[in-house]
Amino acid sequence: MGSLHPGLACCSLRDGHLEPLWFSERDAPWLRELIEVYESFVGERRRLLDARLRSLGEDRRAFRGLPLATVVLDRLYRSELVAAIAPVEARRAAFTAAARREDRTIVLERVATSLGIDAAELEDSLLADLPSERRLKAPEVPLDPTNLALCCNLAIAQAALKSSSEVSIRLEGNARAVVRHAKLRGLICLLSSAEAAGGVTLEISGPLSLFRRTALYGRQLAELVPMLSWSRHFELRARCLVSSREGCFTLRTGAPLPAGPEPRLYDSALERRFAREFTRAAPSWELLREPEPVEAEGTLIFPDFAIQPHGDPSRRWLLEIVGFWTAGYIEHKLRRLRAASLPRLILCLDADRDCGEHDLPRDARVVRFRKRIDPGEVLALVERVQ
Amino acid sequence: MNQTTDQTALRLGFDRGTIVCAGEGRGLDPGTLPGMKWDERVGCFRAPARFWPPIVALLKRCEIPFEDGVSAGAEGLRILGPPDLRPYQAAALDAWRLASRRGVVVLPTGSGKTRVAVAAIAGERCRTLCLVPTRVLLEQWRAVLETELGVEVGCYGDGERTEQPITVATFESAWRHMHTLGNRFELLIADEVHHFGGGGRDEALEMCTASRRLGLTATPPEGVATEGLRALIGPQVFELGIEDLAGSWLAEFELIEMRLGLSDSERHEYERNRKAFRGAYDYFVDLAPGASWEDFARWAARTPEGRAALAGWRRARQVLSMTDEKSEAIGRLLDRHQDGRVLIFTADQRAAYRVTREQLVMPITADIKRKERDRMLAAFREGSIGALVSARVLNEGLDVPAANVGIICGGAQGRREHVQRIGRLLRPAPGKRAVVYELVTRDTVEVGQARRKRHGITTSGTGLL
Repeated sequence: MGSLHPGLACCSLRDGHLEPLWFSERDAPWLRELIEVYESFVGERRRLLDARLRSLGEDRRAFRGLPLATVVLDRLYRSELVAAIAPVEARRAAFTAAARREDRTIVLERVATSLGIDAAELEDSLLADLPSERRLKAPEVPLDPTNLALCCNLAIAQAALKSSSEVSIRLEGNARAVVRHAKLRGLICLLSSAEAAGGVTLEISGPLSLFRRTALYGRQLAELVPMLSWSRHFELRARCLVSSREGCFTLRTGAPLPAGPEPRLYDSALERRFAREFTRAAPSWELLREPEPVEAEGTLIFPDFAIQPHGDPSRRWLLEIVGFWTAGYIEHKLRRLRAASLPRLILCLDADRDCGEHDLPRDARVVRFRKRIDPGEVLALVERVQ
Repeated sequence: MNQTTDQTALRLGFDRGTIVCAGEGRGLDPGTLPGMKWDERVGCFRAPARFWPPIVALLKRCEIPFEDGVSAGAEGLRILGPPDLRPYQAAALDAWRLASRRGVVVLPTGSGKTRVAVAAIAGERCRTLCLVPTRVLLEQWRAVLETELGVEVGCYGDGERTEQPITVATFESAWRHMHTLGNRFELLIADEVHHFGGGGRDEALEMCTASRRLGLTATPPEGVATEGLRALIGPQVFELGIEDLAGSWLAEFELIEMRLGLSDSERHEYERNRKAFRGAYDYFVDLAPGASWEDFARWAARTPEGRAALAGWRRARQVLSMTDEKSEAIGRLLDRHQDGRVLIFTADQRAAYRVTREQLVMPITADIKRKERDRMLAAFREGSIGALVSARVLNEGLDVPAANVGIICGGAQGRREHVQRIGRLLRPAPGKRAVVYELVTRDTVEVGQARRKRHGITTSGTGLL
């Protein structure tokens, strides 16, 4: 019998919609009780807790979502090995001695004596490293029912996305981080402007999604969920496959999810250093990290920085740092920017990956760098052109 | 290869498990190439990587020039020559070659399927990726290939990622990494290939460009999966069963069924839970004759009575997985065969660990780390330990040629698992005659299950104790 992921078991599939049954405050009493059960087994063997959880599971109505909550709690309550002797050593000695099929008690006593422990300790050590025999440890940070409910909700959303092969996301803010993550994970990310000002629509899928519904990209898609909480508004839609049935899963701003880790402001130390040094070197200039995406040739591009004199957006320049590059790539990039009527672009090229001056398009405004981008060179280029 | 530098010519490239096609080819519509579809997302034609060989064949046949950016490049491997093969192994290899080097070879466990694979690699001398279902088999295949072919073998799985011209990967790792590995091999070998054809890991075979494909199994799939496997690997090209080789190339064996009872408390527990299950199940069967077990499980999960029925079904199975009489019988059989090498197969890990505790028998389970497992398997071969117990790990492929006694205490996966388990005992050795005990509990579902599982296994003698 194929088992459904506990996260998907907390969704209802009706009329083609996969509706999450979010954990909420009304679940707090039994979640608190569940945390107390875990706490009461700290230091005990894991199998004892499992037996208790099985008996709790008998009444599924009172404990809706129990399997999912235990999956989440199991990640927080780790276990440790406690044994008089390393179980590997205990097994080697005991099972070799037992090959002669003597009386079990005699074998255990003889082996225990040779190892300097008593027979009960030896018996206890034999399987002490199994997951069920390890001792439960308290989590480093105490947990409350509200946090647990939010973690469960994240697990529900991620379980839904793991069963999907493509998603569509409309979002305002933090689009760059989502796009970057998707591309780093080898996904295909189509970008277009959304109706809302500054809004972006992302269609994210994998190469094989064209041919079949596949869970191949589910893990990567699920990783996007914690990032969405950093967008001002978002709406995610995914077509999910649950027990051979299809359902549309929707996630919107305001969904009861925990905030994910804050996206990194800079992609690299190089960018961070340039931002710091430019701000110091040009106090009359403003440096904007992640300016609004620019529409070009039917897609969107995300410049790394925009620089402009304070309060004068008419003299705005876009700045793009290019680590790995070829002349063809640069030409393609410039063509797209020309098409977008945005010729004010400075390309910062890594000189260690230089393809030769003659290979670059004539209208490219280039600052070459080695390990560090000189803000003075950037400013000089701007002044020269103006 | 029809290489060309013409900028307008057809260009094929490998993109994360797919073939992308750009440019024109003398008026050819790329959409007519095998498996090819227009991909609006990126504005080019795309096909699953497995279609690369027929695409290239078609382009060559039509004399359409194209630029090949797919293949990682062929190289004549410097490896040892083919090993000596038994007549049926050589026949299997010939059948595969005659089928354009695409197909499934079905041979019973213990008959040397891996040797057929080694001979195929040695004969083809091309970059080869071998897929195996488990981490245990990963190590075993790697060791065999390194010994037989005299080269370092790459490994994907069990925390390792090293690529070599000959590489072994677990199904799971191949599934995760085929987007980068997919165009780097010309020969793809899938051990225990019956796992493919209808499962969630078929993408691993979809995303590979290898034109030559060899599948190995003792238990070919049935139904829809057969067609799936035909597309992904090829047709079944050779088949021999246990009955064809027992007594000649496989050890003779005896299958003995031991009918055992339940204690009063076990019987009470079994009947109580069975009754809870049967009530709901019979009701469902009346409602929906011909519905599948999955349909029942879905239906049952929606109501408290249904959930209680499923819980009853699980508990009844647990009662049978290791009963007091089974436990006692295992002890007696271990005493009787203390000079033999005994493999004990249980229905689940809990039962395996009960045997471990009560009989002091080494468990071989997923919880046991590779280093210890290898050391204990070596000890078993040498005879310093006489028995191993396992729920699943010993089922498929793992090579334990010394084993000559099997005790089957329960199983969850039907006839295929049964055949695989018996196969563990059939590696031939001079004068070897294996004996397999099947422990079956009287007046329970196990009786019917045992009868069904034996179907198709011809033995030199069976009996009831």
